[in-house]
Amino acid sequence: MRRRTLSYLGDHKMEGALVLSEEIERCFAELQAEARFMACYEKYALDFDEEGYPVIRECSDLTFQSEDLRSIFAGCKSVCVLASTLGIEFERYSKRVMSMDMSHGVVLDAAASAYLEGMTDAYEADLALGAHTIRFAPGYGDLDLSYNAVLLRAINADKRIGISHTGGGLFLPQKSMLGLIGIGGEDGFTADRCKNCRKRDDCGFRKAGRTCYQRDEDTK
Amino acid sequence: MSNNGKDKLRERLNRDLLLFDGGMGTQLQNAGLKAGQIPEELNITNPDLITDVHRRYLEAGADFITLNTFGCNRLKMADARFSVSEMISAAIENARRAQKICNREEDSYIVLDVGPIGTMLKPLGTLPFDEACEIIAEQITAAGDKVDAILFETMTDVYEVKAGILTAREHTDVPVFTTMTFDESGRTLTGTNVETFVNIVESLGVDMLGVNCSLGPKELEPIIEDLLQYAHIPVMAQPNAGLPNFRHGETVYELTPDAFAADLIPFMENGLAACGGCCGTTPDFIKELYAHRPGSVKPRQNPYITKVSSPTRTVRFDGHVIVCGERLNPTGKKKMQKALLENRLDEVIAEGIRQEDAGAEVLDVNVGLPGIDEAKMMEKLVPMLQEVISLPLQLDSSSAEALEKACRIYNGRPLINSVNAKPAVMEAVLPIVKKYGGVVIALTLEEEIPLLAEERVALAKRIIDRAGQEGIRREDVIVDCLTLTASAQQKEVAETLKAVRTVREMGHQTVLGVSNVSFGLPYRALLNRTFLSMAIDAGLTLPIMNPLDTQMMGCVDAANLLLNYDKDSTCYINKYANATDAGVSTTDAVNSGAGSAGNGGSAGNAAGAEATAFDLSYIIRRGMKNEASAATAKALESTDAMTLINDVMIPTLDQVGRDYENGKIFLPQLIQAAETTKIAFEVVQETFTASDDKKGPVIICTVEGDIHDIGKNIVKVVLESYGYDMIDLGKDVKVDEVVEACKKIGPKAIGLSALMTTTVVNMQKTIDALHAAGISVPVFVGGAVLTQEIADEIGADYYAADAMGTVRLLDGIIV
Repeated sequence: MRRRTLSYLGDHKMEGALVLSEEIERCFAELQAEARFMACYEKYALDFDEEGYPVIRECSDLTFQSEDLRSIFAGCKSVCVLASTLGIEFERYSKRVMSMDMSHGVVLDAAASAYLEGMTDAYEADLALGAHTIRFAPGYGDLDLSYNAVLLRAINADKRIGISHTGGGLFLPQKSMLGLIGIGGEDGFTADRCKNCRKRDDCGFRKAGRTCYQRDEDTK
Repeated sequence: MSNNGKDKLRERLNRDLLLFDGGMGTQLQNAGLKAGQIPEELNITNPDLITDVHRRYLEAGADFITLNTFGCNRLKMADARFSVSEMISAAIENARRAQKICNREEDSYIVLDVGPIGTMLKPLGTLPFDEACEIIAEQITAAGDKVDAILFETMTDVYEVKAGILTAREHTDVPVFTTMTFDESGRTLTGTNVETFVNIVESLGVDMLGVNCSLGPKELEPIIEDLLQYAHIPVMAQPNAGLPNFRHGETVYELTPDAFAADLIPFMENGLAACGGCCGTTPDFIKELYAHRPGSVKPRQNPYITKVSSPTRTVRFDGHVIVCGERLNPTGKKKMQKALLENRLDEVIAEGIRQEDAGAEVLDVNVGLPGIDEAKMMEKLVPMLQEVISLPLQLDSSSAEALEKACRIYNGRPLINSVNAKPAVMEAVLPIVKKYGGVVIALTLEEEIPLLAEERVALAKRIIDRAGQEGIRREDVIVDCLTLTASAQQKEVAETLKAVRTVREMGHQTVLGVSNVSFGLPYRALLNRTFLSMAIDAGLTLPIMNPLDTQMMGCVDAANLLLNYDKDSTCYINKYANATDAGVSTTDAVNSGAGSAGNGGSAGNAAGAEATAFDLSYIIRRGMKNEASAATAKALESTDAMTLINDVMIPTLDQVGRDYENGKIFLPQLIQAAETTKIAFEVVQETFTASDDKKGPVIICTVEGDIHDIGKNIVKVVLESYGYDMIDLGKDVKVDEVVEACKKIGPKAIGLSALMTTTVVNMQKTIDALHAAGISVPVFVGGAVLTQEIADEIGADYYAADAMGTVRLLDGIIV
């Protein structure tokens, strides 16, 4: 989570590890105290239409018009839709920090994103999904952001863990995420995972020889 | 429903234990409803199915039929094939058919079910409060008088619940029930605990409140116990059929009907007025409850304590001394006046946070100032304060219109400041207090302040009686016996204290604006704290004072210990374990004026002494914010202001900017340096006489629909550090608001920020509207998804990639 925090601050090469380490530790202590990590998921059988796009029949034939998902989910039998959040109270806390101490606020914001990612990784690992793909989220690659609204409704994330969205597809609370994990097949997306990504040519992760979907080795 | 029917239902609520039905969603899923399908459409496409579910619940013994209208609002039904009104009408028809089939038209009740709207209200979300009310009004109007009650359920945000209750009260007089969902922590997902929920919704005048969904009956025990302990009105519970388990990819509830009933029976016998089931429960569960229900509701006698609430905190007037922070009031405070007039509300909010951190339990909010539309400003400022401050607010205005707007937008149960004994004022203010469920401060004056204590007490009684006629409890009136100025009315100071003592003996809470006592006299802090101690002894429970004055706070902390409210002296010891007499005496010099902030003396002095060891350039580079003021003042002793800006501050900042761009330092350090320079700038500015020392003004905001404001805030602070006069309109700013602000302020440039592709559209709309209004000020745009190409496409004049880029850009276009 520490490495990821530095990445989110734009420091993909980890050069600030030393000078910021104390402040980042302080942020994680605040996250332990103020954030309320919650997650929920649903599993659905996966089907494919005649062009090979993945379809969830149980969700009124929800079809994913995405080249990325077509290759990632190729051969998968089912899909896990997983949502997670740090809760709305943390939102209030971080806004308060931001209004009194902005420099600390931006580190806390980056740490919160990393914390959410790390906690969600751990939650996903506990599900013991067996052979599965990476967790892929609307808004990445060519998977449209508008799937967020449909999928949140399908898994009832509002009622279960309090994630809603604005008309524009933004999550509320802002520190929330939703991902799709293909189950029962090999990850067919091995060639160039970034090829459909809008940020491809201007990506700090890639410039530092890393990727945004890479898991952290440090799970602390 | 006839008036007779409504009254009868209300009467039954306190007498007979009534049963709700169980889960609807589970029943529909069992009948083949798919995830993502719209259940409310079934009211029209499969009325027999819905009627049959109602029939089975009625046959099981339910008294209430909850309509299949949980998500039937225009937001959630955007993709539905029928209108909200059509689906609600069909739902009512289905319920009526079921009543007829069961021959229960006379002794069962149809309840309009209203679930969460589906998005979050401002300020944490984007839905305006009044729009939430409109959405709910559509549902209520569609049902009209064809339902016997309205149930707001499964909501997790008490603000949405408030919108629901107010709207129901404005459109109908059928009974209103409200349940929220709570988790094991005893709070809703937005952080409201049971006591706070009860305090807010009870004051808004619901007929029954309770808990639904969330957990099984066993896990809900502490929640139900709290509800029964705090509420003074009927309480209901609709638990799930235990905790959900996942089997073979499906969510299943495994509690049996008899186990479910066994867990609820003790509560049915001890005060619940109604119960039923939520997710996973079936007619068998209701049948089991029916078999065990006691004939009547056990009466409860909970004591009534005056309480005010924010969404996450409730302050009880249990006798302890409660500090109300006085500093959000422009009277006599030039900085606050300037902040309000120039719309620099972040400075006002920071003052609020400082008071909360200093130990205030309530904050007074007053924006009365010539040139300010008080009602509008209250509507704007109150949500902004509540976004970051968890304390209940005291809404303070002499304008009934401003009070009404503030009470409406306020999230929670407010303290209202104030009403007095003038008949016209009572007539204008007390209905607002009643409608919005406030606690009100009663000023003991009519045309003027009576000199004698007895006269003030008589006025207090008159206001309390008049409030009673309006339906306001006597406990919800807090009496202000009015502090007079010792310099002008020395002998009347004792009359105030005498009146406080009498009012307190009558059982009322009391409030005083403490520092009024010392106007016009030297060493005001000494008089203030002495008067505070005397007033507390006389029975003052709510001093309105400066919580940043450490001496006065010390008096309050000591009083709460000595009066046995600070149990085992815990708070006192935590706060003062390391305090010494020497430390206390240092602050006297600092706090010589009533309005001055006590800096905790020794720490402030130490910082000042240390600052002389570093030069300003070093302090900026290292982001040593605490040392910036003293170092700047020191530098100004030997350097003139312009030289300091041009030869020290700007070059240092430039160096910091280059270091950031070259990866030698990182974003937090850049911001720290900028914030430090901003403080230095404020000190330098005090030496200027003209106001043309700043560059700008520059308007900046995040566009409508977008609530991400970190990037915008960073750009703002960096520009401020370079001496730009920044007017920040905030986030999710409506197109018209930007145009209006530009017309009013006449900026040199306008900066718009958007983070998502979906909100770039609103950026374009804003630019179009500015052009349409004939505003030709340069517009620069920025945000994660913006590029030069997009900026060109949407008609922006400039693209700013980051904070340092924006500085270079503005230095080029603003001369």
